[in-house]
Amino acid sequence: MASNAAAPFWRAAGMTYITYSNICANLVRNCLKEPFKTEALSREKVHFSVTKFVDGNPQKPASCFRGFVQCSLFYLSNVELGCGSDIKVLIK
Amino acid sequence: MVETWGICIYILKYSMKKCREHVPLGARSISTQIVRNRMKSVKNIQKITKAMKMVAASKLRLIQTRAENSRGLWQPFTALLGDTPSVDVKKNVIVTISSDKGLCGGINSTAVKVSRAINRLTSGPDKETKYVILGEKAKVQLIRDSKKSITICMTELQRNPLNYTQVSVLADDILKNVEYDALRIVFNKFQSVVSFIPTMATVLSPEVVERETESEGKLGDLDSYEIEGGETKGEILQNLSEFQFSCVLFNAVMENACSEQGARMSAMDSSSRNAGDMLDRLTLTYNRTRQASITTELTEIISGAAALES
Repeated sequence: MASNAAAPFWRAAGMTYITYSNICANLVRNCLKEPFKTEALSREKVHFSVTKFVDGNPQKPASCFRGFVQCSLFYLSNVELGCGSDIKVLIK
Repeated sequence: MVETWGICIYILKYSMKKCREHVPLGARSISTQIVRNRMKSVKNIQKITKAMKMVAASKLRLIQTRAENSRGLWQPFTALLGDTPSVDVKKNVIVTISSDKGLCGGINSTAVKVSRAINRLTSGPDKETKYVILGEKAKVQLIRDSKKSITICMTELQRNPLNYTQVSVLADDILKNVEYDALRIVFNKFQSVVSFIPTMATVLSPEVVERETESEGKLGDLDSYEIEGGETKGEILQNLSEFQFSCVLFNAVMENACSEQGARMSAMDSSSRNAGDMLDRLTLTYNRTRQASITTELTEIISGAAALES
């Protein structure tokens, strides 16, 4: 996929450049051979908890993500755009 | 004469009997039990602080090289887009970075103090300043006086070893939830084990970058770069500023984690030294009291014997 065509494509899906580049990085890491693959994939563990504040009151902390791919898939399931499924294929 | 001595000894015995009602059985003069317990607890605390120091030292060694290497991430961005702390914009977002755990000296309060100062500097009529907080400790401090201006708070970053993916997802979350003209990231830059410089890194929004380059503002020479590909300048600036934010945030989180371990190391070092001093003082008091009680007992025995002889 040429980068020229991709740029408006992922932006239209509501992604930022960070998400886009992370998906690309994940793809590259998945291309590695074992044992480097597991080592590289262990570097993309994501874990934190988010608390939003509304009018100075903390809301319930949001869920923590275990791995980047789960996180982005979770994100994509919330995107109601036609191109969302294309990206899912891209990840797999 | 013998009679008076007898009375004396009787009184002594009686008063000792009275004493026994207050102190544990078998204790004669002053009880050293409390001092001994105190000594034991101080010794245990010293052991704990020593262990924490060792742990912090080994963690610091791991993270220091990574933090120093991560400086290469923001340097090209500063060369290209510049670091403009003095830029005057309407919507400021202060990203305060702190640690989740305590016992690490004053690094968290320094970060909070600097954030408050920036808040005062950037606030004004029709301006808006918001906080985004990373880490439990700054949250606890900022919630007291600037509850209203906090938008998001993120914690539990260091459950796993820090990595770029995690911080970039975090940065992505911040970008999606906060409207900003300028993001001001406040963190402690690691210099050595004993010195940390509170630092502010500024990331501008693409619109502000465009404005500053066009009107001969603070960023003059961005137009001298040639742009490859079919994207417009606005698109490229947006991508760049998003990527810049995640890179700068990654470096900031690394530097702050490194400073945290360094500060914890020196704090634990000084507290184990303090515990040692305290132990010395307590030992001195304990021995002196023991000596005094022995002397008293000896005097009692000798005087009793002398009384019987006379």
